[in-house]
Amino acid sequence: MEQSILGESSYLNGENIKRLLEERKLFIRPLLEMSQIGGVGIDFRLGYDFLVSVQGRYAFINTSMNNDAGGENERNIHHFFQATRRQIGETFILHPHQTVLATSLEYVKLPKDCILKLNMRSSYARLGITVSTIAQPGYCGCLSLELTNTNNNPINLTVGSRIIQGLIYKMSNTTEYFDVPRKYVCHVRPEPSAIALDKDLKYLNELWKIDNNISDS
Amino acid sequence: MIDYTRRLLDLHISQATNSLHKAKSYSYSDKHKEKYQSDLYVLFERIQEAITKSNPKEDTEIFKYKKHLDFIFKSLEFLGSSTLNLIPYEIVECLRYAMSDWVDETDNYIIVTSLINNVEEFSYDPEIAFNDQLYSDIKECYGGLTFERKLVQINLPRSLSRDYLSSVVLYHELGHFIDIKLSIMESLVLDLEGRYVGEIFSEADINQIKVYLPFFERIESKPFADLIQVHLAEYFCDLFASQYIGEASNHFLSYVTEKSEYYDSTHPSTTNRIQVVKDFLDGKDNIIVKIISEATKRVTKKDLVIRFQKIISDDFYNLLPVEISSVNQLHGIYDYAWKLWLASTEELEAKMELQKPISSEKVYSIINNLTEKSIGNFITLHKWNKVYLEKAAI
Repeated sequence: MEQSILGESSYLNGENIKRLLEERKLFIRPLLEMSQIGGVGIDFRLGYDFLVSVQGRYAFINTSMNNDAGGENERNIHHFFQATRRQIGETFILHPHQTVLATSLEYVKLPKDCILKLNMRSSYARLGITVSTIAQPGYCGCLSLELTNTNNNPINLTVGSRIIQGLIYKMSNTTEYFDVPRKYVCHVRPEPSAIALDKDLKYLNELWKIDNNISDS
Repeated sequence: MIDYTRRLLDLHISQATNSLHKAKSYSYSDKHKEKYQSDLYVLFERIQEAITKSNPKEDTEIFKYKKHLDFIFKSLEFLGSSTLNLIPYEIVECLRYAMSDWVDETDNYIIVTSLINNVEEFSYDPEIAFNDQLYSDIKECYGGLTFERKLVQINLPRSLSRDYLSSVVLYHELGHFIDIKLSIMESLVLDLEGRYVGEIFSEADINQIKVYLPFFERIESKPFADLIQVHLAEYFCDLFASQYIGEASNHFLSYVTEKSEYYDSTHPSTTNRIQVVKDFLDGKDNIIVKIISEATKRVTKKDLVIRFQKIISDDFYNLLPVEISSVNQLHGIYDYAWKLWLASTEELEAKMELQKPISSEKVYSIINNLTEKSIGNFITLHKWNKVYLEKAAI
């Protein structure tokens, strides 16, 4: 186990990851090839379900509970995504500047003391595809992949290909994933943002109303 | 003077033009479906050519074309709900495995689903798959046009298309396809009638049969023989399904029929249906299980047996998909999912690492997700190993 400069936390190499799998502390299902576990991380594959961003009848995606700009909140977000599916081996085209929600082919359950950070594999990052995902200790489900093509050209991706590299960081303590209400549990398909469930938005909305003498009626 | 019937045929053609135009947006991964739809376009062109050429005026001829147009509509209805985005892929794959136990040439059939806006609409539609006369007419009328594959049409509620608990009922619907294709219950009714007339049954046997088939003593009358065949077909489909899903469909059936103790013209009483399945699974003597098993063996050379393997695992409790290792276990996933759903709140809360109290909605969502992923992983691994191991062997 390699030591982090920050203290007792550390990231895990391939041998450590394999040990976690053997000890049934880390679960990856399916793991099509053991070679997905490399020297410093795990390669994850592109899953077969997608939520593609589309332009709907609403003017913008509303992530606020304030109604000054119009629009509703939770349902609004669903209007901007359309579900589509492919079979393993088929291709999916990622258009320029489009955001697509995908999932890893693998269902993952993390140990309570490990955090998983995902990056595009270098070969895909060089094409201009970005992803930004962290899975918290104890997370269980397929990994949500928010893919964006920053290239000016469409890129087609093969479902089932290794597109993501995951690095696992071991923490010095354990955390209970379900100690707090979770929005995403055992998901196997991409889910639109559940931002509307964030409680602080409610408080901020109340604060906004009070500050500006806005009544509900 | 306007030829009334001919004008309605023109209306039907216009509607078909419109439907076929809309269907151009259907996109399939499965090339068999694409080929089937292409053949529908060819058929439509040939129907139009034939109508132009013959200018039909007689009702008989007009209705012949109407039937062929109906075939196009019916096919599109099912194909439209069977694109990869809409079809309940994981469930249909399980049904394809079950079908292959009974039909050798499974590649000749395409399982398609129509998503119906009715929460109780689980049914099998035999309209296309077994209409040999229709296929033969099409071949004769339109220059030898043939449809290489037939559609196996299964209806299910749109709102439950990804509900893996209620979808167990689809195994029962597949049973109807198998029964009709192999004429199992048709053969049984003829056999029963012969044995009844020949006084081969003992009085005790007859009394037992009457519990499940109240009209049995009137089997010599055609309408009653038909009714008996309808009821026997339902018992057969229940037994067929229970080979793969155990008691799972009984749970759903008893609820949706409100544990009905009464038969009707299409179904035996729920209590009788449940009893037959229970006796079959428990290996207890039951006259209906006996006569249906014998008929099935006689006609198909196959036994009605338990074909699913019970899954012994805590994976779902641990919020993990099950690693399914065989087709028998694949079918067993439904029995496993139902067991979890029927577990007590205390058991769930003791075993599941979730924030307490655990709501039913959460458990429902987890069961559906994990069932889908367990099946999906099996399918993925099966496909992967087929290619990967073959390549590795070279």
